[in-house]
Amino acid sequence: MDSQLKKGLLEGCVLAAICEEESYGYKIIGQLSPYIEISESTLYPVLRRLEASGAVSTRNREYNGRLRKYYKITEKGKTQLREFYRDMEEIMTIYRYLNNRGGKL
Amino acid sequence: MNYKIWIDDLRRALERHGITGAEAQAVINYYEEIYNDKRESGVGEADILKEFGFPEDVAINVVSDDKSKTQTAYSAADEIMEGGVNSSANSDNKNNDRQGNVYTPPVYDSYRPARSGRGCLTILLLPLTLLIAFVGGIVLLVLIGVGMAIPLSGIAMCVVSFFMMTNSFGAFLIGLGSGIAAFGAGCLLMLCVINLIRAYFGIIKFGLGIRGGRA
Repeated sequence: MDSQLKKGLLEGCVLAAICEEESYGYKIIGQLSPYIEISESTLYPVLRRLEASGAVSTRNREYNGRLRKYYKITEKGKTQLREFYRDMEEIMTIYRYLNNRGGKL
Repeated sequence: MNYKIWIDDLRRALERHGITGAEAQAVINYYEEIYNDKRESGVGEADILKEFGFPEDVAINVVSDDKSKTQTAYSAADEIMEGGVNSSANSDNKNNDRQGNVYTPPVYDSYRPARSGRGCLTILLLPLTLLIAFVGGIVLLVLIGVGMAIPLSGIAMCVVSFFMMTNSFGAFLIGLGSGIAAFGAGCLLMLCVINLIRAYFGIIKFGLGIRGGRA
């Protein structure tokens, strides 16, 4: 998959994973890995980008005597997620067209 | 290879790529958190490190993301970088996941100098380094032998001079003086030899592209 496309998809997927409740790195990987190829090293830059752009907020919470970083979607992140869904609908439309035209090749 | 070594390697790799301080700590905290979560869910240390991949690749991944972030337009240069450095890191992780390509010290030790960008220089310097190592080694061995022989002979002369004291006090003084002088000269020579040994190993390390210190 094209790396830029995957970057965009990953950002959308991470936002979708935390849109209902705040979550942490390991849980996000667990949620997304059945659907998209993701590892610790690919998730970290995505989370950092989202945090830097203000799409997610973070807080440290104590868990089992250690700190765990939780990520929560912000209003800006929700807007970004809505745009992502719109983009995906467009992509699906294009995909359906491609599938009808060239899918038979 | 254990987790602490992996984290230390990661810290050094980040440092090599210019990521230090709070930024480096944030990366380390992230991996520590994931590691602890995985351990608590029953995953073994070796499997976790396998999934994490090489510390060098993790650092490259972080750095390449920084680079791409600073570029506003998606250019051909981006494509090359993504296809080269970044996706090679990702593909390493893919391999780790799918083929069980383990993060092990021998592999890590062999690829690290290659990433330092000194590979060609090392190859060019190799014959010269081997020559210096051979000739210098022989010279040093001779010097060490001489350097040890002179002070020992000085000590011997001092001891012998005591036996000469009953026959001639003058001969005793000459023998003692010569012995002390020889001992002093031998010690000075040994100091020079020690410095030469240090320089010798320094030259060989440089020639072979071995990094000293923490690197």
